[in-house]
Amino acid sequence: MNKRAASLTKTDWSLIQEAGGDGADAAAALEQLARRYWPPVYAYIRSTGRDVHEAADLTQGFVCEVIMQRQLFNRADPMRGRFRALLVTALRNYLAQVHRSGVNRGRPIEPSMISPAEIAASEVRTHVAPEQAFCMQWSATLISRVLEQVREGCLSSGQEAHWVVFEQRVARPLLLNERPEEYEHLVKRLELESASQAANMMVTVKRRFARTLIAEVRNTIEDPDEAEAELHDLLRGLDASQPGEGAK
Amino acid sequence: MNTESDRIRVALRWALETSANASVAAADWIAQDIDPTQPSAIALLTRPDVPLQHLAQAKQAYKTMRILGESAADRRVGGVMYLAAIAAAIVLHGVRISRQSDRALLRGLRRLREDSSIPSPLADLARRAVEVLQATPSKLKEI
Repeated sequence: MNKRAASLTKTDWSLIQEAGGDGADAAAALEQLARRYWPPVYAYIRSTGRDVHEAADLTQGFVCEVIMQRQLFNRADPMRGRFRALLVTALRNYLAQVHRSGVNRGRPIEPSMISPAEIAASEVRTHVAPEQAFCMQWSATLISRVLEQVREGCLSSGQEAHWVVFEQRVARPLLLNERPEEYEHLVKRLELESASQAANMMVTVKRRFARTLIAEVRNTIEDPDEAEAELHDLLRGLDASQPGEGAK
Repeated sequence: MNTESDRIRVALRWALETSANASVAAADWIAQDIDPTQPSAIALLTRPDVPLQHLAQAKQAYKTMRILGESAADRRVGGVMYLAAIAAAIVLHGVRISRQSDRALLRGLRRLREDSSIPSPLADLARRAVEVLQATPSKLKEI
């Protein structure tokens, strides 16, 4: 398994434990976690009314000071609650501290960590509550991660055609608002037997996506049996962000 | 699909749907793929104004699910929906979309009608299809 695939399959809690250690592996785990969680952090800060530049600086400050220097992940305990809640609490405290001191001590992270393009891609609505913006970006990040895992799983198991059908019929129409590719075209392009075969391939991958999503959610909560409750919680968080949606 | 949070919500719900009943979720996803306005397989197959073309597509997709479904439960649900799609075409359009003999079709539909484990709208669809097939089999168009 290559390094990228290995990092995709590691759970949040196993990464957190690794990040608490020493050496190159710990640094890599820390960077992986920081990369995984900065988008919802940025969304939260942006939704407090800060402009793009200040939000980016504060995101960097939070990642550097709280996540890396103070080793937030090292203090995380799977028995003490949902990791998402821990992150929000730490972020709220950090912003309060910055507000009190009047100084944003954020310092640039390596350019490769958060690029301007990534910031632009993570741009969020500023008129929703910070917790709601966080929840939305958290969910979007989770879904992106799951899609990547499912794609790699399909490609590594010789199910490239399965992935293409799912991507063209489900993922791109849903996430990018694109028109689904006609089955007739897919059958011809992928040399399949029939549209009904393609439809069942789509279902196979959609199910894999759903199961991978549940597994990923389990990684971020204390009790794996609470995955459904966490999903309902995320849905409630998204529902709460509905009324003001529309303008950026 | 209007907003980003709508789209995210849909994707999160797939996980909950699979947790609740993976095979029924698969049948529902096939129905939504045929007609995105339909929330479920039952809705697609029992809606009074469902186009015949959608029923024919559903029949084919569920036939494949009946044969190639990942699990026994998938294959069973696929079989139920396959028969229900044929029943819907008979009841709602007066059209036979299956090449099965009257005898074989009646046997399958009666079995569906008597199956207490399936949702009642599908059992009712099977009951009405049996009545049509028994009363006026020759009046059914075939495609």
